[in-house]
Amino acid sequence: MTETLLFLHLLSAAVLFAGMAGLSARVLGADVGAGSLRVFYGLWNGGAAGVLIFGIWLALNIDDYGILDAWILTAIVLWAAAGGVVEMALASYRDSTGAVPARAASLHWIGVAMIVLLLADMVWKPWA
Amino acid sequence: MTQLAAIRPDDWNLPLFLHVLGALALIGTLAVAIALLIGAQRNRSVDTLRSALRSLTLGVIPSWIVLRGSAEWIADKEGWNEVDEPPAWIGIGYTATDLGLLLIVASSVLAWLSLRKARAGETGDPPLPRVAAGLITLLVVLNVVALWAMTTKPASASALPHSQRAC
Repeated sequence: MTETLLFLHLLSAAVLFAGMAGLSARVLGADVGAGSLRVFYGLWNGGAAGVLIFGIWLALNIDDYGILDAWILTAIVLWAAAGGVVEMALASYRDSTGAVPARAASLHWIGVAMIVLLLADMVWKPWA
Repeated sequence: MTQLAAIRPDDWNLPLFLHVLGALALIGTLAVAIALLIGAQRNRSVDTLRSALRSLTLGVIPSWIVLRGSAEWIADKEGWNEVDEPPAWIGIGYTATDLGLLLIVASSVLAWLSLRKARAGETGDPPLPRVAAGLITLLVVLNVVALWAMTTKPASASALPHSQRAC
């Protein structure tokens, strides 16, 4: 059970990264196309939901982990902050075909950095 | 089973972090390459084709290098390189990454040839971007299989060198 949950947790992370890479390509100026952008946005949201659901399920399934552990709470805060920041950035370029505004690009990269930090938190598990 | 992190030495964390980051970035950039190659096939845009080639050379290949380099590093830390017959999940991981490199090189060459033809103004229905997208889709499937093997570690219980798990 634990291995299956870990697989689904990481598969969701891969889906999230696929969405994040697609949005990053758009921010970098690639001609992603409106249809593909919608798909990448769906991957970003679906992956984020899966990461949270299977992550919490894993924490409840493993005896040594608790949902109130500092590193798990840190992960949930980073997850929520990254989602909010990327969503704010996306609002300014979702319906346009031109260059992504500088402020939106900055917000997007802050969101990407938060996701990488979240991965580091998962591996190092500070205060565990 | 319930003490996955507690038994992992601290000095394994950096190679493990790089390995997971490389794997996730590889799958992410492969998805971008597929979308751009399919887009280039549909709209016959040289710019989209150029972006697809860039996603392969500046996104997929560096991610693969991080994934493969950190795999060797963590395998060395865990002692798998000293085992005569490593378990199946190690073999699946190496097969997926090494075969993956061939697929990445082949799809990059196809994308480059397609871009060269498009720049030369050749028209018609060039199948090269579609073939490249197909090869990359196959690579995504291989990576998902490797991800399953890495996380579930089938038939590995009797072959652990240090009775430790990586994830």
